Amino acid sequence: MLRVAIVENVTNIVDNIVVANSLDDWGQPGTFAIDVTDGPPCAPGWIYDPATGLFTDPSA
Amino acid sequence: MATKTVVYTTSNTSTGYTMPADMNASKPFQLIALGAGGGGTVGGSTGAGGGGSGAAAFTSNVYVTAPITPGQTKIYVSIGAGSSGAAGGATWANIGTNASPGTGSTGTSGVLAAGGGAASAATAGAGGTVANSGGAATLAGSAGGAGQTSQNNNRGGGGGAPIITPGGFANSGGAGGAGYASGSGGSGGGGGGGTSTAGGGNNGSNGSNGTSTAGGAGGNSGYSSGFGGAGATSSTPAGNGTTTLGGGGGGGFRTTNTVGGSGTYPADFTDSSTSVSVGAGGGNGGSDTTQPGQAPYGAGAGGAASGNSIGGNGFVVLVYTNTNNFFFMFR
Repeated sequence: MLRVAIVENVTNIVDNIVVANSLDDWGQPGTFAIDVTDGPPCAPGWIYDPATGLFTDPSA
Repeated sequence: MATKTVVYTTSNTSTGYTMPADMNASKPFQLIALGAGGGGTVGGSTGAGGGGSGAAAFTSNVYVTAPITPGQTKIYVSIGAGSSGAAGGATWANIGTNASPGTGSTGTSGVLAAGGGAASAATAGAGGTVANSGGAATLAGSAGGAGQTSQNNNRGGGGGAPIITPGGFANSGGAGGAGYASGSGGSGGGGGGGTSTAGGGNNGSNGSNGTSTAGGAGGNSGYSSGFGGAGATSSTPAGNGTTTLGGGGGGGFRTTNTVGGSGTYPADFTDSSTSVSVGAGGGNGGSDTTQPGQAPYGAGAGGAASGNSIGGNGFVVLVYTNTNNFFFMFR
């Protein structure tokens, strides 16, 4: 079972963190999924950087 | 005719799940969601706070207007996950539409249950809010317990999860207990989870605060025999909640038996095909070392000195009336 970050396509903002058996189980329009079971740290509202694969907390 | 239950513990917004082929769509059904619990604080210069529990949401055939063709209509499900030291994810289910039904929605096609808040330093995490949920009925989660502000032990317990029953009864979880506030001592116990029974169920009880000589006891679940675990002392470890009946975990004690107890969940909903059971979890106790593991369904995790502090994952339950097979069995 995976812990998956759901990221909005346009903004790269993390919308939710969900449980899924596979990344293929996620197909909600306007979003994409990243496996964060073993990290890196992230939470709803954080911003994903596709270049580094890391998330940053905009309030930090 | 009889009722059957489907338990969803993993997401599917790709192909979606299919509404049961043996569902009688003209008869009563209920859809219930529980958001994920929040994580507690890990480490820090003050006693770590516990995470809040997720919110609950409910709808039923009385409110759903989305058309349902058994065996064909899809139900899209997103199960919120607990993360270490972070807020719990939101859980939603939507009949026929691949999107969250949205905050403030009224359950015409689905439900949305907000995740619980994460603790920040010694401040406890708040429960998932009604404002961030949607459905014909919603119920807020419970707060975790606060850590002690003047030193880095005495951590808070996690909040217990709420539940809304198939009968529409809303049963809150208990709040997590606080770490001992007057000096080095025990951590708080986790709150007990609410319960769902045919008669309505009951609220969970609050976890107890830590004292100078012991961790706080975990709160009882809504069942009369669903006991929270005992708080740790210098000579005894913290206890866990009652298996299959639920209860919060006891708080750890600062110098010895530092690990808090595990919250447990009642087996209130059992999948008719897989026999997987779920229920509103009790919060984990606070720990002056590591947490005992991930908190159970919807519950908050206790604060911890090191390692992870992971709230419980959410779930969705569909209870429906199946078709009458009498004719086919005896013709």
